[in-house]
Amino acid sequence: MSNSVQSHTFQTASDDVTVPAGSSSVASDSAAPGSVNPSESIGSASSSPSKPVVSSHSTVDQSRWSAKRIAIYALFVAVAIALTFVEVPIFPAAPYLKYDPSIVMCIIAGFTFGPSAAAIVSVLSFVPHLFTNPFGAIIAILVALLMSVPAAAVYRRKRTIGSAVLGLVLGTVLATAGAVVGNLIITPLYNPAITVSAVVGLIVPVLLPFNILKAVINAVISLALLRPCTRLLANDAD
Amino acid sequence: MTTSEANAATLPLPNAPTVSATTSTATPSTQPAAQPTAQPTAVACLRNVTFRHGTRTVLDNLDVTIHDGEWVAIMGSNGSGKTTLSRLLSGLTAPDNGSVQLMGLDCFTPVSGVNLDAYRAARRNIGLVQQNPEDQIVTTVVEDDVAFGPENQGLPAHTISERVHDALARTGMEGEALSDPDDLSGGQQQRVAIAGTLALHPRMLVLDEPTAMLDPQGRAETLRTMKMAHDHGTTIVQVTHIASEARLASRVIELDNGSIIYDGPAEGCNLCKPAAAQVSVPPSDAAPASKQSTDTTPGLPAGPSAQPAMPSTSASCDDSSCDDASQRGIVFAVKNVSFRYPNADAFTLRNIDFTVTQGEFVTITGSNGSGKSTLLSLLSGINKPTQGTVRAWGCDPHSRKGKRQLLGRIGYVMQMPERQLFETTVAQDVAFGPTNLGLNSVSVNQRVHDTLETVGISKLADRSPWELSGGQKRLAAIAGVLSMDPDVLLLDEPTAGLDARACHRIIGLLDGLHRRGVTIVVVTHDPDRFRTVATRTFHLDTASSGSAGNISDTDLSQTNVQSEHKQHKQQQHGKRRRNAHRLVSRMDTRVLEIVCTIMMAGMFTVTSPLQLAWAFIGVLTAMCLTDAGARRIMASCKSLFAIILVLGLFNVFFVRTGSAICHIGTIPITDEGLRNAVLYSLRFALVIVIGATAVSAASTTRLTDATESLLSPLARIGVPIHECALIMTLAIRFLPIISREFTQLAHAQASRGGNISTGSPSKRLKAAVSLLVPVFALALRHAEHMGTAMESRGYESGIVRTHWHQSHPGAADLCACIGVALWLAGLIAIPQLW
Repeated sequence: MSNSVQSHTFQTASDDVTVPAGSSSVASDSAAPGSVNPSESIGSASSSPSKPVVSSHSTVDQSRWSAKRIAIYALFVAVAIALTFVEVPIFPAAPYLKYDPSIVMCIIAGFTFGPSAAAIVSVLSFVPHLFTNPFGAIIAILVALLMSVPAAAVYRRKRTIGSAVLGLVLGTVLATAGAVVGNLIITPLYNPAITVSAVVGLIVPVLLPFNILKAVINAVISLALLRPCTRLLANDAD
Repeated sequence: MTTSEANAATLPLPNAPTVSATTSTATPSTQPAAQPTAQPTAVACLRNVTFRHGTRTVLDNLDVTIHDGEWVAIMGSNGSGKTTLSRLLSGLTAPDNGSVQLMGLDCFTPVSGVNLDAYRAARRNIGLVQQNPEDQIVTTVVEDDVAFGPENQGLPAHTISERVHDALARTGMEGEALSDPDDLSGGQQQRVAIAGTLALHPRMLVLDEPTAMLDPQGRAETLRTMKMAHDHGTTIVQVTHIASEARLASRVIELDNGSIIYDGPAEGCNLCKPAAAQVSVPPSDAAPASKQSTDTTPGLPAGPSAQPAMPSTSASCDDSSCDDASQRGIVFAVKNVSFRYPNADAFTLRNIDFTVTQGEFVTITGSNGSGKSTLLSLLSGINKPTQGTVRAWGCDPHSRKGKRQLLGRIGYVMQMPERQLFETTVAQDVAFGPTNLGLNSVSVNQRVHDTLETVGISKLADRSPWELSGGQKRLAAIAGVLSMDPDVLLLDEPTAGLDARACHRIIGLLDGLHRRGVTIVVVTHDPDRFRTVATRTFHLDTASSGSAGNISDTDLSQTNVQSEHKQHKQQQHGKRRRNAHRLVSRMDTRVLEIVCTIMMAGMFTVTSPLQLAWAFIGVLTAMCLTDAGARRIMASCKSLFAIILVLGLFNVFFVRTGSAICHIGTIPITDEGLRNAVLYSLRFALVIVIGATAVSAASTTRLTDATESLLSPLARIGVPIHECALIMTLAIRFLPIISREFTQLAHAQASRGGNISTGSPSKRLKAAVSLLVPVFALALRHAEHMGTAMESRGYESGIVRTHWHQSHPGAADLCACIGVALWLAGLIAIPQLW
């Protein structure tokens, strides 16, 4: 059980093509002793990482909010925000209904850093949107939280693909429910003439499949990313 | 560029105390016994220090002492431990054994290990500068970034002001104090980073290859700044591989495989000798020297052509090779093309005519900002010309139809293509392209095998891409494009950032491909490298608006496309004025946020046209009272109004009450439906406008600070408000960087056939993975550097930070509150009275 920080330096390959110290293009070539142990979480014992901890070269207090952790969360948020602008049509019947992969980032943050990370990334990623479309942003935050936090909590107990799937199923159910309920509450605020029962009658048949589809896509992509991302983080910590 | 290089080389040697007799050039094992206390003038003292990483020993029993006021250069080949040593000296990492004394404090002892308090205290006097300029700047305003360090140290606001202005003055960046760092060149950003460390008044400055990614001008600026700091008495420790830089030092330490093999004056060091260039091993597969001499255009320009005022022109071929070329097919036809980036005022390319015929090897050259990368992006279909036409084999590479027809024929290798690697093994990554082409698995495997052979990396087939060296990664990425068997290969700076051997390897590969009939177009700032293999050079002049700016050649901190985009964006964005004039812009941001939230909530009481009118008057007044002005705010909302239109239409179909006006199919359009739609759409539009007003009246930094301040009571119950505020600030800072990298990545993967919008679900999933894994890797890399930068500037969990900008509610806020209260009163009163 270690909250320690690992360090790493240049990785060199003894093959023909080498890179001078000046090259910056490669993650493994840039030396940065000290990085984050991905399984840290508030207070509680961290689940053991897949690789053994070698030795700690840390010179800072390794409580929860190290500078590196803040930086990583910030980059997750930046990527998530960037991804909200990637819009993909997923319903051939309704090409104006678009999907964006930003919630995948929240889920991956949750898997790799724990439920509180998922919560933070979920909320902060949509804060800028609060200024442009406040209700849409609130629903988006709700959906992101319900998708990523439960999944992360389940995965934290047992770090296997099986529990990841389980967590994501749970997240899908909760997120879809949240989306429907959220829309029930909020749509009448856009237009008082639309009563709750009207929403139930007419919108739910559209909302439900659309949100389930989005959640399923998020889950599938997150599962596909789980292993490579975990490996990248472990590499980083080497 | 050569003059600035000469300037750098002739900076006089700093006045450093002579090398102390205790530093040794002998091997560590013959060191005299370690002294328990360091000399009074030593700022850093490492004794018997060993650093292990896994099973590998990075530093072996090292003894180093750095004295006050010295200028030390640390040199050595890749993997020799230079960076680890720099981290040990800056107090950011601790060894496995030995003893470390920094600033006279015992930070690490064999007996008790790490002393966190000593390290913290020592770090207050040591600054670190890394090689990526943009990964060290934490926020979107230069002066706010410089203030980050002093804020971490809890200094009072007036002290922070002094420190910030002093640091900016010393680095010559006062003029850019209010600029967005994203608009600055690499050299300027590095100076800002240095200013950020100088604001803490460090006694020692450790710089890890600070000029590695900069162009000669940026390099000269950085070295000048370092010299200035050194003259002020700061000790300089610089990790470098550039001989001319090392010669500025009074003392050079050379590392090899974790041990010091030389420690003495610069004159004595082999690596510093002027004649000792970079490792320049003659390639075993050297291309025959004079292959292209008969084909080469006589007008190969040695430098930029005569008239800088003229728009980009071409050195078109006009000799006998053209006649031959016209018999062969024309691959690319660029006719009278001009291109302007969406946000830019000026044109990057103007009236370009350019053709590529089959079998050529063309290098496109020109200084940064001249548009060479942009031209390549037009050829590959990433961008569409603003005027004129680009055709590839007669097809438009930008149109959807053209992309379908051209799939697999044009191979596009982006700048730093290793960023596109995403699969578990090299072979799988190379298989991505052919699989997207629809080949069956047998053909795919054959292609992969053949391509790896051609590129010469067959033995890397089952390795993970993340384990490879930089040069190997690049070859793997190129293989990923080659496996599609393209007829044309477009490459953007394929040799950037690689050493001589790796460059030769790549050039040899391109030459071999060329001989096999592949048409090759290379964008490069170093045409000499390709002189023996290229058939023609197309030179782009600087456009008249162009690289008079501060971004120039070989600035590796940004890609060509970024700097070309920046050139023209810079003219457009004025800097923020320091003093706000109008009422809303002068408000305390916290009050602004509260007031806006109340107004947004108030909008939802609007149910009648009269209320709507009243509300509109209020919002219009507010908009006019901002510095930005109503027009600008409305303009910023226009894309959002589209959503509102959709909602409005939705409403029209929804409400069935009232009398029908007409029918669309079986759905009646009623008068009440229309009334509803208009009313509530406008209502929502006003909500958005209120939000936009808040955003334009205060910068994102101020908004984040204000929200943090308003929510700070929550911190007492355990909600990490302050950390989240910092996360938000950093995220906003990195957003443009990540967006750009993501866009480039998307183009690269798209040109390999990856498409998330069309195709079978499994293909779309793979395409999504091909985008998200690399962007995740990029995010980690940025975070790594940023975390180190923050730590070196005193950020630690649990510290109490002060804020430089403190605002207090004043008269403007009172007026605003009164105004909003009146407005609300009106909103509520109207339905009662009418």
